[in-house]
Amino acid sequence: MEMERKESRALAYAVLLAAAVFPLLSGEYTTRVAIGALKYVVLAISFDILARTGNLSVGHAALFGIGAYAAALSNVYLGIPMEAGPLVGGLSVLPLAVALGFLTLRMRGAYFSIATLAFAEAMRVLFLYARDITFGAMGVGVPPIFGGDVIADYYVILGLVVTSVLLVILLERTGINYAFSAIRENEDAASVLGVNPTKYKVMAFALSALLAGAAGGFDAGYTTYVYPYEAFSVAISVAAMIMPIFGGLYTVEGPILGAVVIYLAEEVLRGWLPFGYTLIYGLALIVSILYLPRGIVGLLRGKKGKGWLQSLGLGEE
Amino acid sequence: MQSELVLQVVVNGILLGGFYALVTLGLNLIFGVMDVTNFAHGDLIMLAAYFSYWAAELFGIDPVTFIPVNAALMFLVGLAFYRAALKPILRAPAYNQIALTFGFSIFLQSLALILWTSDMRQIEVPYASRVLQLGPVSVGLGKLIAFVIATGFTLGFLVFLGRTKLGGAMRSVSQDPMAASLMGIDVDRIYLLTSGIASLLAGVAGSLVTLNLYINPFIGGELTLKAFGVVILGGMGSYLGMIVASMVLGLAEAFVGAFVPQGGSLAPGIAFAVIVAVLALRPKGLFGR
Repeated sequence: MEMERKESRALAYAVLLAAAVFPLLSGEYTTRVAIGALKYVVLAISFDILARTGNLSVGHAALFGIGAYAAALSNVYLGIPMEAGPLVGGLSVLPLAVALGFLTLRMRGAYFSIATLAFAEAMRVLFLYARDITFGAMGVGVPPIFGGDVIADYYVILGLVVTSVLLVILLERTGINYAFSAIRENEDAASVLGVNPTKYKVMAFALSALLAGAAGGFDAGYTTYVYPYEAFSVAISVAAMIMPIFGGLYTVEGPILGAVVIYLAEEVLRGWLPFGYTLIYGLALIVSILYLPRGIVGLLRGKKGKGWLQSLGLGEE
Repeated sequence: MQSELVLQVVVNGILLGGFYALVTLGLNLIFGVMDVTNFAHGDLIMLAAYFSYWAAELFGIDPVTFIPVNAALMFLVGLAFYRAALKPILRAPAYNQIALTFGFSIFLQSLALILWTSDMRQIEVPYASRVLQLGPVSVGLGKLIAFVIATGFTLGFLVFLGRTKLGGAMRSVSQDPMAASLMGIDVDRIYLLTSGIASLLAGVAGSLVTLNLYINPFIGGELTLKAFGVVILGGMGSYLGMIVASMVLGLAEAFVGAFVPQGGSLAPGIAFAVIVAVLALRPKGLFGR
């Protein structure tokens, strides 16, 4: 056990070191691919945090899109620099997320998922409609973050990834994660045992939104444009949902692995299947549910740890 | 003048509502009988719309004439859909149901992108764009045909459910699969046929889509959400509630489209707003169990 812990810690430091020197050793194209992958790592972790309370969001693009718009519009109207985008994006989604947390508190299972899907679509319609403020379908143009320096952009998103990972580790170390799991497994029982579901569900929603909004705020300055059809696109919600499921939910490394593997597969597939490369998402999700209930992480960990699977409601093995 | 406009908008809303009822029917049926929320429902309609498009483009078959063939094709698709997507998650936790049916939604969408690209497609149906003048109200012939056929299938299905032996078996399975199985009903076969019939109804809806609208591989998502809006408003599994809620949604869209400035761009959002608002107040739908 102690040995294993040391090994995995050494592995984590090695990955971090490799990630830190990566842009210095690679070209612009590969750095851009890495930035894309890391952006989705943040979204995948964000999804996973919320999923730990048993709620599957099918509308994560709403949080991402509002973060992107908050960063872009505060630049246009208030002159706040895009370098502050991740902070502006994350913080401005926060109050909304707390409100949404309370609003969706009593919804369970499919109803929660339907509500999040509908919320993201409603946001797209709203941001298209309020064109006097949001510039409608034309979108908002902003100056590039750090003058478009790709290496600086890379370190910003890497910083967000590290923050997200530390947040998850903190959740696991402080025992908040136990409260999340208890609510996921049986909310009524958890509440009888003294776990306050309201508090923890709203907390999960807020933390999840903070990360998704920050990713959106970064993306606005990185791509220098925010369009309603892209910021609130189902494609983002789909990626945020499938990557952590494929990688392995409720683990630190699962969402990271899932995001990187699927993003790279998508990059390759896009080359020879310009239409329909999204097939990879559908297949990854179907395979995960039918054959890999614990994702890639479950595959890597092998049979060990069998037993908690059923208790997570992830089907039988 | 104003009252004539209101009358026109009411008629438009009702025509739309009749179509929404058929769009929702298959989703409601699978939920009622199998207790599965099918996130791929709209994508089955999308697939059927492309079958109709293919029949018209390749063989010059009129979309209305093609309805029986499309319904039969989609019935077979529904049987395969049951084996692949529904059977593995019967009585599984909500997580598996959402994720697997959503996976098939993306799968079907991607398949359509590969086969037909993301271009907007439309079938030229000369008679569908004709406008009939009925007193003060003018009605597009295509919309009227869609309404009549949709309503015919919706009511026909309800009669089937209420009056036939198979319909009765489906109702008993929806109430209590265990008891139904003890009474000698082959529950697995009923589930299989339910999926086939739900997909058949989606097939008819898909044919009607091509009569009036442009299609692309992404229309399924919006149709699924509108159907969710209807069942959440009308009560999952309730057919009377479904018909009333379809009319409410159709009328609301027609009124917002006609009377709110720039309402045309706001109307598609009504179903989404209804879902969020109703669920916030009643987390299991307005008449949820």
